[in-house]
Amino acid sequence: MLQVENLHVHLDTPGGLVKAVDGVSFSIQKGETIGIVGESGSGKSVLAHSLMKLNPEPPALYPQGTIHFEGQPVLEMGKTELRKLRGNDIAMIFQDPMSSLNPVSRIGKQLIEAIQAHQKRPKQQAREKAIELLEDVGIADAKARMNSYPHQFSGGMRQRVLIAMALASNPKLLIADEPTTALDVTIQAQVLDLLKGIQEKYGTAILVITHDLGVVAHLADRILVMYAGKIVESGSAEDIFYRTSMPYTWSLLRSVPVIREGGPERLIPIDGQPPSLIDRPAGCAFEPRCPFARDACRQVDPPLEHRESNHSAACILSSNEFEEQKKQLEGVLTT
Amino acid sequence: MSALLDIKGLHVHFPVKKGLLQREKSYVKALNGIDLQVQKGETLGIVGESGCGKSTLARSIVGLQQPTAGEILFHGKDYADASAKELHDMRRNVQMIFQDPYTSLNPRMKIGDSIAAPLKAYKKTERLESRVKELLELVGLNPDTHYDKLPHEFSGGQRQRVGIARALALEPELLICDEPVSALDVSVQAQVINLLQDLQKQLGLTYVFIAHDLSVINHLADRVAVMYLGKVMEKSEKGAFYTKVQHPYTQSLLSAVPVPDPLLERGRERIVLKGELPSPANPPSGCVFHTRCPMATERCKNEVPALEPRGLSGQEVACFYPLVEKQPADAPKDPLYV
Repeated sequence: MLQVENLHVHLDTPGGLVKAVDGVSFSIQKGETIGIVGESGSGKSVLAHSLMKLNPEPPALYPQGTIHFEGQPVLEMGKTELRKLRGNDIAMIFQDPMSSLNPVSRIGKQLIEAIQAHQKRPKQQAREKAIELLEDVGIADAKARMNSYPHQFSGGMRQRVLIAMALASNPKLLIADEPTTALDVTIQAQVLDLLKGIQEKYGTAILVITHDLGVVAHLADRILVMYAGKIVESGSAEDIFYRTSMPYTWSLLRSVPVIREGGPERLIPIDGQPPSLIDRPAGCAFEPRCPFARDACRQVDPPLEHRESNHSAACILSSNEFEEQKKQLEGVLTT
Repeated sequence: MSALLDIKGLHVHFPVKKGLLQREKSYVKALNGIDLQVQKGETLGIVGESGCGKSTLARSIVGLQQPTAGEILFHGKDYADASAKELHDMRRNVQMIFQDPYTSLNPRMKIGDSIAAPLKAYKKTERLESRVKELLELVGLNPDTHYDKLPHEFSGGQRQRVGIARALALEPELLICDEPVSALDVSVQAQVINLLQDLQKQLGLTYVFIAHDLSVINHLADRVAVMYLGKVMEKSEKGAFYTKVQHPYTQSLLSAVPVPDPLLERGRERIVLKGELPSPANPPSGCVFHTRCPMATERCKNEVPALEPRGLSGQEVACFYPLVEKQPADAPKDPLYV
């Protein structure tokens, strides 16, 4: 359905050219859930915004690569075509639901507006549809809540309203950029449940962007791990969590505390900071922080290579070599 | 043995004016009868969702917030009765690390000066520069190159280290950490957590560690207090927290945390709470959790359950129907039931 080929997105800033997305390829099939995991500055949000060409231009530039949505080249679309694509075929929900809603306009009015922007419906019908959507996303007493203002809603309810708005025209792809980061855990659980329910009901493909490994483990069928503008590992959720083949992914998994009795007393942090995206060092971008780095890593920037079936990783170590190194290091760490 | 910090029946209420002439007064009950003890050298974890009063509690402990009722004893001495001189000394001994390292440092002050500020305030200016350098080194920063830098030249993790160095400058006994790692990226979060653990061992510090992230609390805390709407719902010892959870709220919090393990995630049963946190201006009658509790009865609506040892494990819990130890044979791998 969506095909991204060797995409490069650069941001032209006063400090220099930021290579936010640096040669990324992936595809999304109908009805599947893909998770993009990465830390801040890894380029995951810029990538997601590119799919609808939403990055402000300038500073964003698309020097190379293509994005096709159902065969249509997104990057070559004009304003009117993009308008049709955004909201109709691809919809997006953002991290902060308060800043995505108009604070001085009633929830109902904003929803009706969103519906009428994409569908020619008389107001009364649009209103009924809006109430139906609010009920779908689990807002109690939807009819009365149409007259509320955003500030009268809690964070979780606002996120539900945004999801309702995104669903207004039955999009084929829903992009969720850190949808639960601003929410409390119990509310996060409600919203994640809702997203799963929507997918079952409408068959919408979902692209979730998050830094939380738990959230992708819960939602995603397939996971892309991003580091410094590149995809460094991709595969099914099982591949990523149980057959990790890239040191960065492995380090991420080892650095988060997990609720488990007899869990590690000490976390293994990743030393240092992510690299600057302005002048990227030669070689592998993770090399300065990698516990398995060797001389060759400073020269070769390993491409994303197939390991088994749909599992790919960008590392000069083969899966077997990495497995061995991992065991050695884990042995040292536990003693 | 008396506790280092002893909080007894702490209430903090904020008045809210209402009505046409702003004459009607009501109260937001941010803290509603909190009893907590912290022993020297331990880490007390406080966990709860936004609006449960955990930050108000932190502010009260460092003396930034006057209690409406109740007392906070530090070394057996109440803040409220202390003379100005005693208060000055108590404040030195209780320091705080804030959530957001971006806003808690003066952007125009050099890092070295920021760390020196508390030393100057307490007139400990002998060997000022070398003391600041010691502190920089203690938190893993470079004493020579980082001294003259400004906060914007630092990353989030480094800024949080500066915040820690500043809090340690006066050699406090008690550190209040209010969400110290929640603004950091996961890879950096682990660095700061490890640093806090090392410093505790090295300097014999006592922590009150406040967070909404249960995994972080579980990792760090010796004892945990779970808060909801200005009340403590359950207290538990390390380890026991995850095997002998008794309060339905704690149970649902635990089940809501996504675990980075896909097979386990898919097989897990979630208790998804209905609704949202009620307003602390108008808390529910009886047990404050009854409006969202899956097992609430008539009794919960009318009576307030006291926080006392109950059930099989004998942990303190404020619930009439504490859950018994739950270890179903068919779910041996679930970390919640391990």
